Parts: sequence; structure tokens; C-alpha cells
Amino acid sequence: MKKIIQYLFIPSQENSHRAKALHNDALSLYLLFAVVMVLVFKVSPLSNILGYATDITVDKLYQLTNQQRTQNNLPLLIYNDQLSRAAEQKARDMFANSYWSHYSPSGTSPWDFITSQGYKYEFAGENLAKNFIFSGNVVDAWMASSTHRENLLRGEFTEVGFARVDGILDGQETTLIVQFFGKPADTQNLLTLPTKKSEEVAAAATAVFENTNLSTPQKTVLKSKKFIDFSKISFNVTVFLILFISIALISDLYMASKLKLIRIHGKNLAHLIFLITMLTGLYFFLSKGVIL
Amino acid sequence: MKIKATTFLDYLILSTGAIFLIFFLQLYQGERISSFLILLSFVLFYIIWAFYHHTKDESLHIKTMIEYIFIGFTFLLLLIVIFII
Repeated sequence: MKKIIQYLFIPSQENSHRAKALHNDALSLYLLFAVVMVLVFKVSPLSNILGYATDITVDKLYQLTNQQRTQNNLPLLIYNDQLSRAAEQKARDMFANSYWSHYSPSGTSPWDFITSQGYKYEFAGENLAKNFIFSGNVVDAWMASSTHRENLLRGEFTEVGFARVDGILDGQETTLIVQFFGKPADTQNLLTLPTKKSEEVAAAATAVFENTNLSTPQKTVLKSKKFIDFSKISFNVTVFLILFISIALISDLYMASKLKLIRIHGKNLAHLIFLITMLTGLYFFLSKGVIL
Repeated sequence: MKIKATTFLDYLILSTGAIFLIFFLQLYQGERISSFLILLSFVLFYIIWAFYHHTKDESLHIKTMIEYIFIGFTFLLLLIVIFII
């Protein structure tokens, strides 16, 4: 194993004084792999269901949301399938009707999606996000906004549902995140307040709703997803390959400099500048996630 | 690792190109096709820079140029097409 690593990353006589991972045959393999990735994830019929290569998963969002609540001494939110289905319905509606808002152009509110799934609530709230690549960045952005933070840390909420849906919005491939909070309608409390009217509290970015419906929703716990998440696989494989090449470039540059090797090859320093620039550019492009 | 003054100038040119890339990406932030074209332009600039640098350095070789082309397009495809387009 040690010999393989040395052969791949450290210039020596065995690899013609150049890390094997940087030989042209290895580089041609990376290029071939990149072409295959593009064909599989962007050109093939699979691409229609794969969408963006992002690290965002419902499980991770749920975990991070509850982590924030734990840090603020609040009870954990229970994952609710009905809220998640409502969130997915909302995200698909935004794609279908080309809007990015809490309210649809036809006036459909977030609460309509929640009630359409049979979820009767006393309180409900909605947080939206789009075009983020990491789950952590989504929750961080929500926590940095007072109104979204208020939703995340609202003591009244007891349940939560999420949806991450990829699609085309305004002609651009977009990843939408919808987070619905809820507190099921409490029959006893409502019976003591029979005259209480529905009241809506809507802020610019978030909204909370109070209702006097008498039925109680079903509670469910988070189910582990059994299907293969191709987006995550493509993301992880890409990150792994970039790291692999970066390590090869750095170790080869360091060892060649240390051993004062003179070789006819591309300049590792130039490759690293190129790689860092591309990653920085990508960071600027992808960090443009928006919350609402 | 010693860098000659002329080599330093070459790296300065490459770094300037990199700064321009980031500037233009900021300018066209969110526009996928424009961003892709800017990044593609940077890959081409990188390959031209390699040709210029190695010619000056008297180390130009077809194997070296292939290395730049492979690296340039591998990262373009991996990073840009997978994440952006």
C-alpha cells in the first residue's frame, strides 16, 4: 500500500521522477472519467432525474435544524411526512408556475399546501432557499436572517418537513429547498377557545399561521431513504478526484523542489494556480444561494 | 524553490488572468452560460499561457502541452459542467 501511494504521489526512479498520478496516461483517464460523468449526469436520460450535484439532503437539513434548536435549549422537532409532502408540492408548484415567493402568482399560500396534505395545524411556518450546494450553508443562511432564525427557533413548532427539488426556474437549473414547520392543532386548547379566529402573521421573509381546526395530524418519524442518491455520488466522486489530483500536484511539487529535479513537464505551480482559480470561481458562483 | 524574474513575470500574467476570471464571474454571477464561457475562456488562456511560458523557457514539448490541455479540460468538465451547466 505504501509503495502504491509513493508510486502515485512521490517522484522517484520507478515513476520516471514524476508522480504517476500526474503522468499523461493518468491525466487522460481523468479526462475520460470527466467526459463519462458529463454524459451520464448531463446528457443521458438519467440527467432528467439527477439535477444538480449538491450535498444537500433532507436528512442533513433535519439534523442541522435540530442541532440549532438543541444549542438554543429548545425541544427537537419531529419529522413529519405530511409536511415534507406539502414542501415538495410547494417546490414543484414554484417550478411549474415560475415563481420564487411564499405566495404563488394565483394567490396560493404556503398553508394551502400544508392543509392539502391533510395536516391540520395550530401554527405553521415556511423557510425557502435556492441554489445552495451544502446543507450547512442553507441552515447558516437561515440562522443569519432574523426572520428565518425566528422560525427555526420558534418554541411553538413541534414538527418539521423538508423538500429538495431540482428543476428549471427562469430558464436556469435550480435547486429549491422548502422547509415547513408545524404544530398540530390541539383539540383541548381549541375547545377552550372556540371563538378564536384564524390569524396570519407574515413577515417579509417568513410567515406563521394560527388555525382553529379540530382534527389532529398523524405524526411520523424520519424514514431513512433507500434509493441511491446519484447527485451525492457524483458530488463526492468529483470532490474525491479533485482532492486526489491536488495532493499529487502538491506532493510532486514539494518533492521535486526538495530533490532539485529537472524535468520536462508542465509546471505544478501553474496547475495549482489554475485549480485554485477555478475552485474560487466556482465558490463565488455557487455561494450565491438565496433564502426567502 | 527559486523562481527567475522572467518566470515570476509569467506567473504574474497567469495570476492576473485568474483575477480577471474571478472579477468577470462576479460580474456575471448567476448567469450560467456567461459563467461557463468565462471559465472556458480561462482554460484557453491557461493553455496559451503554457505555450508562451514553455516556449520562453525553451521547454516546449508536445507532452507538456497535452498535460495542460488534459488538466484544463478535466477541471472544466468536472467543476463546471457537473455543477453549473
